[in-house]
Amino acid sequence: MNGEPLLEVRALSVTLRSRGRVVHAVRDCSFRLHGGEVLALVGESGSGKTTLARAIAGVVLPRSGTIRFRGRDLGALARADARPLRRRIQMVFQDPDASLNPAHRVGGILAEPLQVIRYGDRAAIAARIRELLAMVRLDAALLDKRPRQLSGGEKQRVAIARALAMEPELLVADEPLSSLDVSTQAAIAALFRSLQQRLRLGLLFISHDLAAVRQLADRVAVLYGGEIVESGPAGRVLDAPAHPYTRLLLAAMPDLEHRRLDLPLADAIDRLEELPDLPQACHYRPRCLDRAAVCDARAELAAVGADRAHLARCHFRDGPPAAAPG
Amino acid sequence: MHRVTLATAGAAAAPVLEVDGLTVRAGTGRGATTLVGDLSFTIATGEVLGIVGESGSGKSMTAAAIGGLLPAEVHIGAGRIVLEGREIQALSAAQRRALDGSRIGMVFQDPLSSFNPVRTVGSILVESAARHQGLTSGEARRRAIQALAGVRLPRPEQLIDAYPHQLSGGQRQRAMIALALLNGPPLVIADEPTTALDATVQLQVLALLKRGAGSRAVLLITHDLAVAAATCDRILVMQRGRSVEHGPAARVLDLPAHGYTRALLDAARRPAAAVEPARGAP
Amino acid sequence: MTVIVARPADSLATRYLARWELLTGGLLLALIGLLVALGPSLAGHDPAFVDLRGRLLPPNSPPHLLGTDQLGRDLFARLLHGLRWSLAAATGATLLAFTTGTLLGLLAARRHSLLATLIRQVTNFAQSFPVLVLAICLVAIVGNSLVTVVLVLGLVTWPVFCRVVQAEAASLFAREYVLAAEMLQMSRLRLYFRHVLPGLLPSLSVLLAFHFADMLIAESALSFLGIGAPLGAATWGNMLQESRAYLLSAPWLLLVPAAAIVTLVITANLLGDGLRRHLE
Repeated sequence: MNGEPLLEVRALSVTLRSRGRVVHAVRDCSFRLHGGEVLALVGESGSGKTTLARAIAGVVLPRSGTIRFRGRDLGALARADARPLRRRIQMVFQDPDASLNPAHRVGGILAEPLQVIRYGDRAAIAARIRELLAMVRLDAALLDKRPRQLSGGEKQRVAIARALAMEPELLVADEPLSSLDVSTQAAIAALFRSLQQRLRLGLLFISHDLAAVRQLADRVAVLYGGEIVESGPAGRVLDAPAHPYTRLLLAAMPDLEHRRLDLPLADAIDRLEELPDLPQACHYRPRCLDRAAVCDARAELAAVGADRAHLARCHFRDGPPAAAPG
Repeated sequence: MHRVTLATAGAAAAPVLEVDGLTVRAGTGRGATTLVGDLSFTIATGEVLGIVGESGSGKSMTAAAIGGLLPAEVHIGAGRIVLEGREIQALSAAQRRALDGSRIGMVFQDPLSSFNPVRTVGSILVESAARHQGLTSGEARRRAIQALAGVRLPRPEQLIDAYPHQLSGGQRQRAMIALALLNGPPLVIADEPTTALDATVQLQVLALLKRGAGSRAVLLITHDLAVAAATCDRILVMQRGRSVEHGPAARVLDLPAHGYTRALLDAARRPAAAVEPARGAP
Repeated sequence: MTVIVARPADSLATRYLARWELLTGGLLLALIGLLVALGPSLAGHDPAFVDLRGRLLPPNSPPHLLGTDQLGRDLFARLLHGLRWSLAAATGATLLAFTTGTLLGLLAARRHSLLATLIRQVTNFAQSFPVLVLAICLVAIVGNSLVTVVLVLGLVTWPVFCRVVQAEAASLFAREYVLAAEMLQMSRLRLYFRHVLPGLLPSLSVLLAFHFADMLIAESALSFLGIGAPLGAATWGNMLQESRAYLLSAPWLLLVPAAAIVTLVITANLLGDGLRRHLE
């Protein structure tokens, strides 16, 4: 894609403090997202994908690095100057039970963003709420209900409508499907797709579910240990993965076509011996099934073959380490 | 292969678990609602039966009814649950307790809430082994370490003295499986055992359950058809408390007879071109 | 889906207990409210009126319902006067502690800032500060008065609120619905009033009831030591103090105010407990 990216993250690092320990949740992450594009951040729990999303959403402070939105460095702006920009970045959370205030009614939840931006008088707000409900395909009869009276899918639709009320250009969705039933998941994923295309939203879609990622994403970035270990067009990353972690994620996912557990893979993971910590070593080395002596020195994120859009952080991105001494 | 043949032969003789016309109700009198209605199935040794359904389908209530863990306002309204030829409902409370842990092993979605946070993982295993197998504390401890090693937890000798919060989610779930398998129960019930886990850990936990099924019957409750497809020999699909389809996994997946099963399969396959179904939106 | 191993028998008992506690507490509160409203006039005597001919009359000696003290003052009138004093002092102290503690707690909950650390240190310091030293200092500066009692008790006990609010608000700030509200870039004030304070309300209301009971006892103790209430004023602490010399000859001088304190404390505790169970 050409032109200025909607979002440009450069060398972003976030450290979190947990029980007195410092955790490098996000390390030196860089990527771009254009308007109308879906970038999926993929990784397991603890990979740093949620922290990265929250740093972009502005609810977690980065330690270093820049986040540029529409060309402006959000971290360098004064709070009042950043406010109108930040309103164009909205987030949908994993658990709609937790992201909707249980004490408020749907009508109140959807009116709140409109009141905050002084959208208009009562009638204008009511009309806009009806519009938002139609966008997420909810019935206006739900307006007087409280979150606990709604189904999981309905709650997630309300959360999406609340985000859309701010007319965002960038939507950050953190595992928005994983607390929903299978049939609801498909419907919400389709809703994301149609909204994103209709409104030309940039969508940062965080998920551990590769099937959903395949369905939605234009590009994929795979996170491990707070680092991007592979990124590129969705088709190439998912069909021709270059990093052993991406391969592992794909192999470990049960799918309806193969219908068998990869028991040899489970055994191979079980058999992995623990390794001493080396500061210079590849972060993935302790879990890597293809590790070799060369992995004691970390690889840079580099192009896979001649494809400059497809990057991987592995010495063996162009082929398995068959010849390398183990 | 040989073992599979044997197991199948045994299945024909006597199933480990036989559920016949099970009905589970909440409340009494006019306000009663049926959570599970007229459900029947059997599981034999060496077999994994998957009950698949969405939230509210009654699949977890079925597991709870068999495991004797129904909430107090919920009760079995009709039907029989027969474990190894004995009708469970006819047992006294004490007999029932002896059954849990020795003849039925349970694995839940969230192992953190199933383990007592102020007790070490080991002490729970040791107590269970001592009570159900009549072992001395030294023997029970050795058995517990064996069980932890059996689910491939690293350094079981140290892990046995760890508290639940000191383990990762995957380690806790393995410890839960170690506890479930500890006394060699003929039936293991796993209720959404991998829902909270990452894909790689899920694979390992499912592999443990699948291997454990060699010598016992496994009832796997899951919302994930792909998990059921990978793990189960037979699949029973539940919707609103009723069984809508039940048969060999391959048949249910390839030739689904019920519309609901087809809808679930379609949703799980997630075609890339999925378009949101049009609705009579205002 | 998870298997819920609930114990509804417990919850049922809890519900009945909560209802019973709230009902009894409420009735007692209504009775106390009535006594406060009517005040010493209900006794038909001036609480300070000395009648040396009618000294140390036992309870139920008409026209003195609860008898008289060593100076012949009507005990019922003094009790009612003391009730007003005690309630005023405890209410004032509770409100002062509540306001200070909640404000500082909200500030400290926000994030790991210098201010938050400072507030935590001040909280620790205030919590370990000796009450009596502060009380005596304040008496020396502003003299004995209701304000002194309120200041002493309020300034010493606000950390109780600060800690609870800080912990609860910190967990609320991690809630996703608060994060979602933050993402709307609304004003801080709106965020606090719409999303944070309502979430704190259940635990705060329970804490208020219990704190009020604590303040009643503390006020009586200070008054007993001669701090706060002017000497000879009809407060329950003073009444207890003066009763010591007549412990054997006129035990009702001790029993009447003691029973009053216990009743008031039980009322507050019933309401607090009932609220807690009700909200659980």
